[in-house]
Amino acid sequence: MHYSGLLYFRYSRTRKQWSDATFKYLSRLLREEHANTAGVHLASGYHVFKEVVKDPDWSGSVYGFRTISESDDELKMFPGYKHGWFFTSIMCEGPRYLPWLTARFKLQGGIMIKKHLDSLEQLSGQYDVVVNCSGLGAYSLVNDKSVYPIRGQLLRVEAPWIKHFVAYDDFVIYIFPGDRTIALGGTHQYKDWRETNDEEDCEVIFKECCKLVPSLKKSKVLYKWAGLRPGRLSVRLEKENVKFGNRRLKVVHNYGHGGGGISLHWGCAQHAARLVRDILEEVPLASCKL
Amino acid sequence: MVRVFQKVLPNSFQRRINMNKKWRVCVIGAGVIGLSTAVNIVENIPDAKVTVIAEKMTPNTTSDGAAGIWLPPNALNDHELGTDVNRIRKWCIETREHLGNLCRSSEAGNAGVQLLTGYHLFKTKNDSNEHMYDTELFPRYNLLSEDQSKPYSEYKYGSHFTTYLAECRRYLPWLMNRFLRHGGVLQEGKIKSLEELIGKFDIVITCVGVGAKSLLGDESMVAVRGQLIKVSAPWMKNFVRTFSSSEDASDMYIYPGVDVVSLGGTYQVNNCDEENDQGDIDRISKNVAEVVPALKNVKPLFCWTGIRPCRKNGVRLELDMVEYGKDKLPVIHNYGHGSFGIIVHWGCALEATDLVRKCLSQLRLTSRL
Repeated sequence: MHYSGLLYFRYSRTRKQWSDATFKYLSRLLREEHANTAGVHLASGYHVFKEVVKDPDWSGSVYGFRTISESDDELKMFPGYKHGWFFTSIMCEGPRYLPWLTARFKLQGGIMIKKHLDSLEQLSGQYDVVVNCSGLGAYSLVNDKSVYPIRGQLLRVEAPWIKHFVAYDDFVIYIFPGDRTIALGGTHQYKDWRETNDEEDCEVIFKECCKLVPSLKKSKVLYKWAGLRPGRLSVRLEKENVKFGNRRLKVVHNYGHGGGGISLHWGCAQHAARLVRDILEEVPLASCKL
Repeated sequence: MVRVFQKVLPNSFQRRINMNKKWRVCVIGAGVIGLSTAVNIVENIPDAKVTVIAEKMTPNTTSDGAAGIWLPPNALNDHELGTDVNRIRKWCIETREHLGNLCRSSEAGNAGVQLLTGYHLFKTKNDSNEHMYDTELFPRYNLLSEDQSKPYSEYKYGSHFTTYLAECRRYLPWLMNRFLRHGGVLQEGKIKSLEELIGKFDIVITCVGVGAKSLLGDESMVAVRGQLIKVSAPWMKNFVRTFSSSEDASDMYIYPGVDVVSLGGTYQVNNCDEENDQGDIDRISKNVAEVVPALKNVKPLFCWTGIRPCRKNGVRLELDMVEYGKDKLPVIHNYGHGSFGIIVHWGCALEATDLVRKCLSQLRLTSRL
């Protein structure tokens, strides 16, 4: 879900630039023939709060952002909630988007190798630049101990009559309609490394979502899933010259996006690509293979 | 033997016999109008025994093919709904309340009722059709300004609003179950004349839609043909509709229902051809692909043609007394809803039920004499 409302990042100008660039890219993709293959679709919905809150700094970046107050009839749909946002954004779903991106990469001559790396040293001497997009893996791969997991539990249900997303308060409980399934979530468990499902979490999520949208009681639960968001105080997007003895490896880091991966990915990718180009332009003529 | 008993019995006992009497009510038609009327009668009038007789049942009724979007009208064509604006507004509001309650209940999925947001788009201000809608009644309605960013940026103008959609392929079976659970009876069959029902029913309600012309000889019915394509595109979560006043015929609509997405449409007055038309299908597909290219390669599940039951001077919702020789049959008409069947159905059902109530209190009085 392209939703720039991240809570554990400080709002920064750079982050907004990455987010806006991603939204612009997704809105172009939305109007193309392969939008569906790429897993991209328009999504309208609500974020509701128990207290009145300020408008978010990304309100101008999405489509048709509106505030809903207690005097609006619409808030009746959410008893107990006093304030809300209504807006239209873009959903970008991993299970379809990633294969589509992979195909696009391969079409341009890109090569995919499935391999586990213990250290970047394994790549030194083999590549001119390494772009490190290891997410939570950066903890061990580059020894970044400031990276930590933020565990998220979700359920996938079948409820095709639900067409709007709803997020509540601090975005822990949410209902996000995907292509054929609705994602019900979630949790924000800091430094929790468990990738297995937690039945108690699932029960709470299902119960809370049904309280808010009663028709979910009749939905069919298809499967449960837990993932670890790659949390970090801020995204690490920068160049580094890494030394291994007397060997050097030029690295561009691009990790630590927390729950904002999809929302920021394209802007970050463009930024990382610029850094790669900078590095390649630095390479002295003598060492170029002609 | 019974008659003798009745002469001898005291009044109070006579009243108890009348209280146990079930009035035989027949609803002709099992589309959205017929079933919603039948449900209201059977749930609110305890001494009514209701039978729905229909030639076609879901999924073969006119209602089944409709996209099901709730769009309350403002100004109306000659042959749509009529001119009593207050009455029409009341029907719209009552239907909206009913759909809204269903949406917020645990039954939304079973009933096929959903909240839906989307866009109306037009390239010039002249192309706008927004004056045709009672925009105050939508749960949310915003007119878009020229400079406001929209996902369909080639359209300079438009509106963005939230409304309801009732997908009849789920809604009608849900209404049917509700009807049957309250003791209603469903009977498949064609009624060729109301005379067939004399002696079998005490009141008849005609929810016959386009059938009014042949069954009742209503020459003011106007057939308006609609062509739709039904596709599977569960990732479409918003509706989109374009309007054009020019000759380019680029109008189209995309209405995502619960299980299928409806692409359309046509509004062909005085056309009662129920066959699918390839020319219409091609034009709709082309217009849809212009605005949502991702729908270009989606294979259609099926195409569907329906004839809207439009009527000059609008809906006929009134009590009539039909006579066949010495026999009188009270008939309540509830037909001619044109494009607005789903939009006004619950309000009309409530009004028809009221007429049944009034009619029955007369019948109860006369049956004691």
